[in-house]
Amino acid sequence: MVYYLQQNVALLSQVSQQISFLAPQFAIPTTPPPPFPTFKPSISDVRVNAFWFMALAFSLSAALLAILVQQWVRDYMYVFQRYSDPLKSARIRQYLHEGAEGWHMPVVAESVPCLLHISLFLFFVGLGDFVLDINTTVGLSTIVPIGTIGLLYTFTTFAPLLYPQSPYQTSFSGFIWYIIQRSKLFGRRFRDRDGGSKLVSTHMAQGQMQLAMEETEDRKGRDVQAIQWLVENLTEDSEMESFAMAIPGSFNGEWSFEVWTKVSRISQDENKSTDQVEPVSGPLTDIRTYAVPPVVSQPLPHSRTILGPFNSSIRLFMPPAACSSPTNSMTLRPIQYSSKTHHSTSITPSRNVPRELSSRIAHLFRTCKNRPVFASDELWRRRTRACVEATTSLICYADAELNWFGDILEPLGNIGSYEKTRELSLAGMDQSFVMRWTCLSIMTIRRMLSVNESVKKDARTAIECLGELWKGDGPDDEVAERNAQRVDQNLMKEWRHRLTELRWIFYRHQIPMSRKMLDILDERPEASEWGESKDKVDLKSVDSKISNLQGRIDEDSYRISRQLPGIQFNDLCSAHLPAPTLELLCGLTESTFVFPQQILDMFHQLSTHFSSKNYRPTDREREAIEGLLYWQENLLQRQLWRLQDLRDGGALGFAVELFFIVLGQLLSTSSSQDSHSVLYVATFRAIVSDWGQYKYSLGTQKILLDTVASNQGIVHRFNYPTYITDELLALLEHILEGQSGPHIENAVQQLSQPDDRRGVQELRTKALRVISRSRTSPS
Amino acid sequence: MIGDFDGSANALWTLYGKEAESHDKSRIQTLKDDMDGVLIFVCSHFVHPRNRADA
Repeated sequence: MVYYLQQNVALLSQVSQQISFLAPQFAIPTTPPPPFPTFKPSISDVRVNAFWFMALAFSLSAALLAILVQQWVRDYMYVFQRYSDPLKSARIRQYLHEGAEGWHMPVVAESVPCLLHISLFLFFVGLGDFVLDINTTVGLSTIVPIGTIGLLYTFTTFAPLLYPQSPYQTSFSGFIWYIIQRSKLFGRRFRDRDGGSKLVSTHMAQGQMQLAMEETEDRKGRDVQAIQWLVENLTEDSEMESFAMAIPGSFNGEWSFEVWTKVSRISQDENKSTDQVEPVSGPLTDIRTYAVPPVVSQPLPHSRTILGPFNSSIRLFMPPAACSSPTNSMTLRPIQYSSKTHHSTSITPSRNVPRELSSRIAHLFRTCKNRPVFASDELWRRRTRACVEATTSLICYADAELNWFGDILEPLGNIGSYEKTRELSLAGMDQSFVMRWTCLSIMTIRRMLSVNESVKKDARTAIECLGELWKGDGPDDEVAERNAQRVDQNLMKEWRHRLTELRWIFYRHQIPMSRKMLDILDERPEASEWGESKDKVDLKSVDSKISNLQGRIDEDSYRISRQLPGIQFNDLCSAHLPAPTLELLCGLTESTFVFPQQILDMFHQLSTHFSSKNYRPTDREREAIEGLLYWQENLLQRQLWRLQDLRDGGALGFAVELFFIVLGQLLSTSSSQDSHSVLYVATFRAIVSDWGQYKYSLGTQKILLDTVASNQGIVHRFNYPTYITDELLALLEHILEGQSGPHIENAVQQLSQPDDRRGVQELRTKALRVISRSRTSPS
Repeated sequence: MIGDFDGSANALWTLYGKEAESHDKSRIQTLKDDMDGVLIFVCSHFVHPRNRADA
């Protein structure tokens, strides 16, 4: 432009000269035009140009590099498509991968955006300079936003270094991170799995990963949040189903346990006003942390009102809002009953996570009731199993309460019969499911029995029936107990007779006899009262009453009681061959109910077998006989206690017995005894959580004492791990506290006798200590 | 020591391939996206304005 201007000036001066020749009268002073000023760009112009051209160069080289990188990457990835032979493809990949890492290809690639950013800022700086030079106002209004952006950019660059969780970062952050971590002195450290302190990786993304995985309280908080988030965001039934399936697995190990505890704790804090159960911290098996409950000797109001016109068990369940008794408040930790036991947690809606989860699973359970809706049995089965396992886990680990899940008895019963849990357990298959199903079932049965009036009525009738066998003076229960003892003695005598019969058979076939057997057979048996005329007392009616009761329990529990592993059934069925008969007799101690008349019948059957000429006991039979040498002396007496417990004790003792028998079976098939200790302990606590109500039930006291004190008490039948026996002893201590009576004296006497069985003596000493402590402590 | 894996080791190398592929793909995808971003930026600022000026 300057050039054109100069040309114009030159032409104009030429024209002016020519005009001066044409009209000389005018003297025009001719001044030669000034020489063209030499072009000299200002310093500012140079700066601006330098910035801008640098910016151009940077961005173009970024573009070039970007194209190159894309090409490299394409070539690199081509390996996977090029060769189908896995070995070849793997080798080429490794070859190239090493090259790429060795030559820092990722760094190069990451620097491309850096170039672009540099270019942008160069342009900005140039722009600011340029505009400022022209006009201060315009310049300032340009520079201020540019400066702000620059500051933000700087902050963004350093943000991830200061707060690794920060989502803001730039391409430079990685480089600075690398330098800082390399310098070791300022480097961020983390604790690795072994607990050692280590420098975080020089690679930023990897470093963030390490920090996210670091075992800290923060991580626990994040896990808790994640679970909460998941629960809130799952809405579909099918999603819930997969979540329920995943729940049991999420309780493995200490960490997960703590996380779940925290999940439930957080929510409890949120609605403290509605809390009735406050967990008391303490080790799981610490006996002393049991709190003393208020004495509730009266039955709960609702247990009187539930006898409806239809005596079906569904009606016997309280709707969640009405279940305010401590029966249903179950926590893993030793629990403390607040004075306001009738104030329900269930009425107030809460945001409690386990609570929310429970209601979702309860909904899932309800969908399971309608089996034909499911496309296949397999789908139904999957959902039900998921529900069962999740429910058990939540109750045992996450302080969920059983009544949050509503009425789950029916689906439980259905899944039990469908899966044939008894058979599964016998085969040692599918242990984790069987275990969870069993634990949940016992809890549910216990809850059902404690409020089931018709079961109580049936138990009462059975006791009355026992009391009428022989007339006697005194309270009905005492008469019944005396009668039961009498039947027991007679059964014992009858059995001795069978043994004597056997003795001759053994001699005849010259079968070697064990020392124990010889000892017992040396005693001369007394004749039983019944002798040949066995129909003097009406044992048959006792049988039928008990059978009624059993039928009632089976029906109301949707036959769950039939599927519990390890429980024997001694129904009014008849085994005709000696071997099964003997085995049935062996199983008497593991059966929930015994039928005296039937036992007597079996004796007579055996007798006929034994008296036949060519009878020779098989190995199987001999084994059974060995097991029967010590006849359980108080079969019916125990049964009577059990009936009394069902009648007055809310089936507390019954459930404990059931639990121990089942636990024996579960433990005998499981590989490790301690692996599920928390589950078992939690189940036990859930079962006995309302012991305060039934403290004064004599039947319950007796049956619980018998489990430990008797020679053949349930606890001695299997080598139960101490975590569970300690729980039992703790329960015993609380139930017996401030109590007295001949049955306790009797138990103490029994316990004082030495027992040489391995492991048993220790337990008995402990039990003795517990009982004497509860006796001396002030009531 | 000369030799090679025989066909029965294919499973191992298939596994390697799969693992490497998922690893590389995720990494390369981000790289590619970055590069695309750069190219689009450069094109829009340096190519189009001149085109517009010519027109």
